[in-house]
Amino acid sequence: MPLLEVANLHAHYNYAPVLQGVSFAVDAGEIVSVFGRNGAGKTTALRTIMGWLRPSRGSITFEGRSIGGLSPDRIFRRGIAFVPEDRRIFPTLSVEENLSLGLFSRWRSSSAERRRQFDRVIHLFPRLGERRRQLGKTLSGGEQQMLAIGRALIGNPRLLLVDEPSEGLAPMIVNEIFESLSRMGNEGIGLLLVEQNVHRAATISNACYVMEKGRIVTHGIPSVVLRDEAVRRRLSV
Amino acid sequence: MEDLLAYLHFVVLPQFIDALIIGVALALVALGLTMIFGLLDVINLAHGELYMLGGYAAFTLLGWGAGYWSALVLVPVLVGLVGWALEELGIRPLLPRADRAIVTLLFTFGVSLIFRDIAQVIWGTETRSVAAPLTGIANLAQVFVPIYRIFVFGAGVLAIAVTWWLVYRTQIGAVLRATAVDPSMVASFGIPIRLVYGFTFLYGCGLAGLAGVLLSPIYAVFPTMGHDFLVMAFAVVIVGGMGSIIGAVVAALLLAQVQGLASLWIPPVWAETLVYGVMLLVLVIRPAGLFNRLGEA
Repeated sequence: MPLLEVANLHAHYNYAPVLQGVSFAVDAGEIVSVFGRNGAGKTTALRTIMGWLRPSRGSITFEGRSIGGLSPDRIFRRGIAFVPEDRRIFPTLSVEENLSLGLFSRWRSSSAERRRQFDRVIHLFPRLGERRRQLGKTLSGGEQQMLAIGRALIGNPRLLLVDEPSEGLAPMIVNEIFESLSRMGNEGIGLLLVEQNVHRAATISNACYVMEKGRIVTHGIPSVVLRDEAVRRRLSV
Repeated sequence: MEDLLAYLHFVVLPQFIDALIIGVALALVALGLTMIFGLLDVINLAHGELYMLGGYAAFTLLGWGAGYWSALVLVPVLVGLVGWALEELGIRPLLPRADRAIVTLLFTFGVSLIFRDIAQVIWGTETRSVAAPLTGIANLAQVFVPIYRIFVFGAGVLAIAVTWWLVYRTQIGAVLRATAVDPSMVASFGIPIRLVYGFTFLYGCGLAGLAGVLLSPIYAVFPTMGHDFLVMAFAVVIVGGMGSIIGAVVAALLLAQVQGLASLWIPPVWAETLVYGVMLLVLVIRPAGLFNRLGEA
């Protein structure tokens, strides 16, 4: 049984259909990338899984239980965390406060367990430890992305949805971010990754899906899928 | 020169101290108003009536034989619960609507009229007095101030300090500040936004209830007391910045002084007009108010 299974998912904004029968699956410890041009429906797929948008048809199953139509807070508590496209860190909250939000709903956890999760994120992104008292708005773009990922990771999710993690970042930082994502996959966390930097994402992904106009047009192992000339043309790579 | 010093000491200073006490009480009402606006984008026109309920609840509890000190603890909780019910049953269903700003405004306006009418039916239209638990006058450098007013000042400062600590020094405060900026992101960390909104109403209306108990021995209790105070509280929120905690406190102290000191030299009605003049000036020069909204850079 896959960790996440999305079947025949439809969603729309007002009356404009954005997802038109999308199906894919993610296993535990697997990194799955979704590629496609702007407006293909990639971000909408992540938002619908996270409960930001109600699916109009189809099913979303996580660990064998339906989560379609649940509110974002309940979906998070089921074990899914989201790193949105524009990071959306809280500018006037310190790094520590931003991270603490990810732990807030884990109030039943012991303080030792909370400390362990905190240290785990700091171990993954030591720079966040150095800047723990700084306000979110004072961080560089790369540090903000680390904070966005760390904040999602600290609640110990089993599936992480990551939208455009490399957007607007310097290549060195992009490498750092992708290495950390790869490490998460090795730790057994499932990752669903939406990324424009197709080649970089392909190097860490076990599988990929290509979307166009709200539909999946092809899927498979990234190295095989990206060898197809038609796919390369579709993705402009 | 000696005359001037005596004037400042015996005329201006007592007025300053009086306005300081009123300013602190005004800040309590404005804090709740601004917190609710900062988090929910709801202008709660029933906030003044919750302050009024605080006064009547104190009057009733004391009439039933409860002590003032137990009323001081109980009333903010009771009024907070009324506020919470108001949010849960009336405002929440309206929040998803695109026209939420106008419908919540109309809804809370309707609630304020209903609360005022209910107060008139239950307690009548006449003014009710509440006995101050502390009597006596303190001599502060030859300025005579009733001890109860000093207590109101201390209790108000304590409530403001607790609110500041809650919002800026606790995890709950981090959630409140984050919700003011991006509620859907906060929900994505497993935090139910409806609980955050409910807590905000509970706490904000509880502060109005606290102000109602504290001021009832000074101003007495009557059905329209909330309306009069709310207009002033709105001026405070607009001058301080809609949704700003620090702004509400600073503007409450400032506007209370403007009104208090000005009434030494001009008729009190004109002093009140001057307050709204300051509000208009701030709106023209800095439409967002003197301070930034809760959670904003």
